[in-house]
Amino acid sequence: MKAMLVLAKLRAFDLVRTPSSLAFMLVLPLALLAVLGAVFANGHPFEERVVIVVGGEDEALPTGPGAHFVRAATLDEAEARLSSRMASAILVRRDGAWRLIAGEREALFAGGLADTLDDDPDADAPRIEITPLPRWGYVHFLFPGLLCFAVLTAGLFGMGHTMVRYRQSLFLKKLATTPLPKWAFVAAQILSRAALVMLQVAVLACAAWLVFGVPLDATRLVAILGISLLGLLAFMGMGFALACVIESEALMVDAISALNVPLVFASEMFFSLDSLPEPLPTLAGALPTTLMVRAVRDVLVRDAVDPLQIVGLVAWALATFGLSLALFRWHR
Amino acid sequence: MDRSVVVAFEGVSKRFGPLQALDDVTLAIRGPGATAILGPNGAGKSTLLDLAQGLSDPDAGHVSVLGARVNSHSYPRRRVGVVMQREFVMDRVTTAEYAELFAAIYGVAGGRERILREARLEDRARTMMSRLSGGEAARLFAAAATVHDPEVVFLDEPTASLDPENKRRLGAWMKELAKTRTVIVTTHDLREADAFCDDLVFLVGGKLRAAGSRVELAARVPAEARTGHDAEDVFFHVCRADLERVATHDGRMLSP
Repeated sequence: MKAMLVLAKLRAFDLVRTPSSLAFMLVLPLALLAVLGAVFANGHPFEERVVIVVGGEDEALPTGPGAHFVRAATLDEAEARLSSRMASAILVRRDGAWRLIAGEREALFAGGLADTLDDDPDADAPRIEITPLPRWGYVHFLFPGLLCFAVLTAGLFGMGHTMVRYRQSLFLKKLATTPLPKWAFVAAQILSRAALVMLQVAVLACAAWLVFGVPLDATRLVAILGISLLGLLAFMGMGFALACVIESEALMVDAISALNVPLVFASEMFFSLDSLPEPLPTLAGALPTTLMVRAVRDVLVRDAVDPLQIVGLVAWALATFGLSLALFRWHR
Repeated sequence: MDRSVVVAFEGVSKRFGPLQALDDVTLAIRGPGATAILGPNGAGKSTLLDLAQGLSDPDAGHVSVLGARVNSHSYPRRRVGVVMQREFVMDRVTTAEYAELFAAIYGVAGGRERILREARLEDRARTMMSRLSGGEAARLFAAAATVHDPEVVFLDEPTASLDPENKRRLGAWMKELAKTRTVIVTTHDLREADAFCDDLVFLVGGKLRAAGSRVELAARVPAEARTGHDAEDVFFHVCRADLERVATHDGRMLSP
C-alpha cells in the first residue's frame, strides 16, 4: 500500500514538475473554456436550424426564431447541402416570390417558417415544396468528415509521433551517421504513410458507397484519393513541424491532442460551420481540415471541385514541409 | 606498420550551457589499429565521438577525418561506420529486413546476405529484431555498420550490455577489424581496452590527460604502481589528481 502511495506521489510530482504537462492539464482546458464560452454564450450552435437562401441578393436575409439564414450562390449547391443534411430548408427568391424547399422530416419546421415569413407584410407567402431526400443523407455529410479524421490522424500522429519516437530512441542519430540524405528519409515517411492512407481511403469510400449509397464513381474516387493525398501531406507537414521543435514523446502526444481540438471541431468534419458566429466560419474555412472536408464533400454531393480548396491544401503542405525541412536536424 | 593520422582534433572545445564538455583537446588518432577512449562518466568521451562522427560542430578548433576537415554538413559518411551504444530496435522488423535497410543505405549489392553472414544470423533471418539476444543484436549492429567496408569504425561502449562470452567475441572481432581499419572505441572497461586496443586516450573533465600507445603509456607508470593491467595502471596514474578532487564536502572520497 505504501509503495502504491509513494508511486502515486512520484507520478503526481512528475506531472506537476513538468511545466508543459501542467500547462496542457490546466491552461489548455481553461483557455478552451474561455474561448468556447465566449463563442457560444448565446446558446449552442446547433440548436438553430440552418436555412439556405438562394437569390434576392439585394434584399436583407430573412430572420426567424430558431433559424439561421445563410446564402448560397446556386440552387444546385443549396440542394446538395440539403440532401446531405447540412441545412434544414432552402428558401428561393425568384421574381419577388418565395419558394421553400424542405425534406419530409422537416415539413413541420417548413410550415412554421412559412408562417413566420408570411407574417411579414412586405413578403409574399412562401410556396412550400416537400422533397424526398436520400435516406442516408447525414451519412453523406458525415463521410467526408470521417475520411478527413482518418487522414488527419494518420498524418499528424503518424508523422509527428513517429519522428519524436525515432529521435528519442536515437534512430535519427543512427541515420545521421550514414550517407542517407534527409530528403530520402522524409520521402520514405511520406511514401509509406501515403500508400497506407490511399488504401484506407479507397476502402472507406467503397464501403460508404456500398452500404450507405454515397455517390461514387471512378472519377469521384480518383478525385477523393487526390484530395486525401494533399490533405495527408498538409497534416504530415504539421506533425513534422511539431516534431522538429518537440523532443519529448509525452509532450508530443499532448501537443497533437491540443492541435486536434480546433482541427476537428472547428472544421466541418461533423457539423456545419454555418451556425457559428463570424468570424469563426471564415477563420475555420482556412484550416486544412475544413478545406479537405469541403473539397471531398463537393466531389460527392456536387460532383465538382473548388480550385481554391485545392490551392489551400497545397499551400498548407508546402508551408509546413518547407518550415519542417528548415528546422529539421538529425541530431541535437 | 605505417600508421598515419586518421582522426585529428586541433584545439577542440565544446560547451553545453554551463558544462565545458571538451576543453582545448588536441589529439591525433592513427590507423590502422584500435584506439580506446577512456575516462570516467562525464569525461567528454561521447562528445568527442559525436564530433569525430560529424554529428555536431565544435565551438572552437577543428576536427579532421581521413585528411579532410569535417563538420556536421560535410563528412565522408561512406568511409565511416558507426556502432552506437544503444541502437534502435525497430518494432516488427525482421533481422533480414534490418540488414536489407543498411545494405540499401550504403548501396552494397548482396549486402543483406553479407550482414547476416558476418553476424552469423543466417538462420535467424526471419526473426523479429526484438527477439534477438543481446549478443545476436550486437553482432547484427556491428555487421550492418561495416557492410560497406569503412576505413574508420566508431564503437560507443559496444560491450556495455553483453555477457562475458559475447564481450570476448566482439572484442576478437574488433581486433581482427583493426588489422586493416582504424577502430575507435569508447569504453569504461579498462581490461577490455587492454585486451583489444593498441592505443589509449584518457579524458577527464573534458581535458585530455594522456594519449599514446598502450605500451608507451604503461612505461610511464612507476614500477611499484603497476598491476600488470596496462590500461588500469595508466588510468589511475594519470587520473589520480582528478579522482582525488572528486570528494564530498566533508573530505570523504567518493572514488578510490
